[in-house]
Amino acid sequence: MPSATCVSCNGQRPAALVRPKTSEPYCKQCFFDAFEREIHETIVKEQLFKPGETIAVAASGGKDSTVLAHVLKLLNERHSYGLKLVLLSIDEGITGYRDDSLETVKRNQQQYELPLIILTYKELYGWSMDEIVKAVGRKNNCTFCGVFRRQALDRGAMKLSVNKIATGHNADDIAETILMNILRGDIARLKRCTLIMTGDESDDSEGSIIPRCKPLKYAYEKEIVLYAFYKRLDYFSTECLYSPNAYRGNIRTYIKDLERLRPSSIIDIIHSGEQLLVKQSTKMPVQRVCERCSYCSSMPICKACLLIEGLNKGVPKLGIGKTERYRKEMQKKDECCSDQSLCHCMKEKLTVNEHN
Amino acid sequence: MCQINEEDDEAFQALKSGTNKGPISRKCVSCDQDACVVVRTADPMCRKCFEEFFIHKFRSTLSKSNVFGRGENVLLAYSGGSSSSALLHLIAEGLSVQARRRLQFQAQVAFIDESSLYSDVVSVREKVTDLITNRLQYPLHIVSIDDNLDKDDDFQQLLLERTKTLTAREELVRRRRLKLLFDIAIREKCTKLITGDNCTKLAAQILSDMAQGKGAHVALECNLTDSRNDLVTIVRPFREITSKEIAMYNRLNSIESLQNADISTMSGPQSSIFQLTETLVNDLQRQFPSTVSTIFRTSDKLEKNIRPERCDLCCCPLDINVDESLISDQNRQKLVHQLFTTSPNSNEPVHVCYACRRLLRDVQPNVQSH
Ligand SMILES: [Zn+2]
Ligand SMILES: [Zn+2]
Ligand SMILES: [Zn+2]
Ligand SMILES: [Zn+2]
Ligand SMILES: [Zn+2]
Repeated sequence: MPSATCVSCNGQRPAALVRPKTSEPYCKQCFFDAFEREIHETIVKEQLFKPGETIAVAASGGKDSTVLAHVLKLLNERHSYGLKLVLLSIDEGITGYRDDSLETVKRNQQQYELPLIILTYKELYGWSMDEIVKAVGRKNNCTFCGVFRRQALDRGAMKLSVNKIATGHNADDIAETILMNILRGDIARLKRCTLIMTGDESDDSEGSIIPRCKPLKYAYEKEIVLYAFYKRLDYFSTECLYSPNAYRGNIRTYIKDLERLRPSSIIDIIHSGEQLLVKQSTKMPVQRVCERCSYCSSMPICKACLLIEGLNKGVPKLGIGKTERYRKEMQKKDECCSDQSLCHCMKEKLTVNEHN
Repeated sequence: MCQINEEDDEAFQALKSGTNKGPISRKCVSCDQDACVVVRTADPMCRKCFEEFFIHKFRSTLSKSNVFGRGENVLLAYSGGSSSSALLHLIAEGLSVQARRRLQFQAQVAFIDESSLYSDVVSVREKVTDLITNRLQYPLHIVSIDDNLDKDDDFQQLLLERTKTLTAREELVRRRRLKLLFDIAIREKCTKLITGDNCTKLAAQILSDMAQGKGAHVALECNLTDSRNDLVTIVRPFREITSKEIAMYNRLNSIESLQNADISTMSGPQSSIFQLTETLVNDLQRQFPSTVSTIFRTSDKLEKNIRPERCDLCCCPLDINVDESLISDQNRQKLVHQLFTTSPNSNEPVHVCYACRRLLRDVQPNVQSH
């Protein structure tokens, strides 16, 4: 729409883009302002941060976490949140895989002048993914990458004793997760996935892990891409080797189609998810805390600790036993990667949660 | 042996003895007869057992929690589609004197005629009258979808010209239909409204509602009884029966449904959120046969929203606070009054839920500014 003028500054500047959220023409400056203001309003309204807190920004080098780091740094200064921000990256220790994205994160560190901490699986679990593959073979490594990846941020954050973790989950991710949880009947996660903050005082279903928040909860993926593009942010666009399984692929296409019919659909799904009330009588998994690592777990010892135990004792199949049959069934629907290749989809593993 | 051999019908898997290789040996899961009906690939059934299973499912849903009082006046929403046709058939059997456990309520039937919306569509009123009044002899109430509207607020023009999207058209018709059914029920002193919603349709409806911001009402919309209206309770006896099972039952009993025009088929190749969702659910169901039942089970674990304030469009409890739900635009307020309330005072405030508010954004409220 080249001749249109920006709806926000009343034609002072020509429009440069159509805002995906509203389908209205915007100039670049007004789009930046609106995008940043909305995130600020979310942070204030949902009371995501308190002055003096140290926040670990989960940094993968991808667009979501890069935009998150950029915007949090900017808003922290603009509105004097009084936060100490650190970038936290996880290196799984897969030769050749993280190199490019970690380079991106390192450049981000300099561009944003934020401290960067890279924690390796070796430091967190005593084993790198390469070593695990060597020990268990390629067939079983998926169990490990799934379980370890889910816990890595929490373990890292506990190690650094930060107050909160901020992740780059955007509105599209959350809408997708809501629908996925309905389709696979996961009532416990259905409620939790709409929460903007988990693990804080208000969330009684969780053990004593570090609170997590999603400041981009209401930000459209398309707007994040536009923002990163026009701001010329340095991010690593992952050629995701992961091809979503039939189920998730269907849902993703469905959401894109919905967005085409009605751009507000993504926000509408989130509103729907937030309104769902779970019956009191519904059985919810009891959450307690792992005796070894104090990560939340439904068992006395969490899956990750069980797997580590197995690795250390030279019986890597420990922990892939009985529960694995169930896990296999889940993975038929929601396979994270094929048997012979390593799982290369950080974001996927953060949103694809499985039962422990 | 079974008489029905419809190989290409998806809902059917005819088993011919000795010809096809796979299913020859398939026996009914409940008795030892040859199977002729396969609803779930794992359990083929013979005709007799299928019908028993089907009727049992229907009757047990109805007898759960004693939905109907003895002699209660009940209104049946008949649309001519396969679900409501099957429903009518089952209820007629259940009410007949020969029935084993006779249903004890008094049935009346309502038909909402949409044909006035479309220029070259023949109304099916005559067929409906013939079936309900002459053959089944139930009191019949036929109401046109634009009943009771002034000449100057033409519902056809509103829908086809001033409503931007097919989604909004479908949803307006859906809400107005329900509104008219409630009106008939109240007028005829019926305290229950039975609809033919089956679980396949409801599963799509649940997701489609989610996509339109109507999550707050999902639990209500798929429940056996729905009390969004204080005077008339909606009852959904087919909520645990799939569209496949209904198609099969209709086939076996030669129950015909009516070819009826609706807003979706009349709107050309456009798509709507509901259609998109229905396609998704059907695709998934084909690949993962537990899709429909899982969606359904999930929503069964949800609590109904019981806020006393209701939406003036869909009659469901409000899911946003009262200030946010108030419609400030005079023309929109007037529009809602004309289409959805019986209140003669069009200055009374109008409150709508999140989804209906979103829906109204696609509707141009007044003719003048068009
Ligand atoms: Zn502007
Ligand atoms: Zn542990
Ligand atoms: Zn994997
Ligand atoms: Zn049988
Ligand atoms: Zn409503």
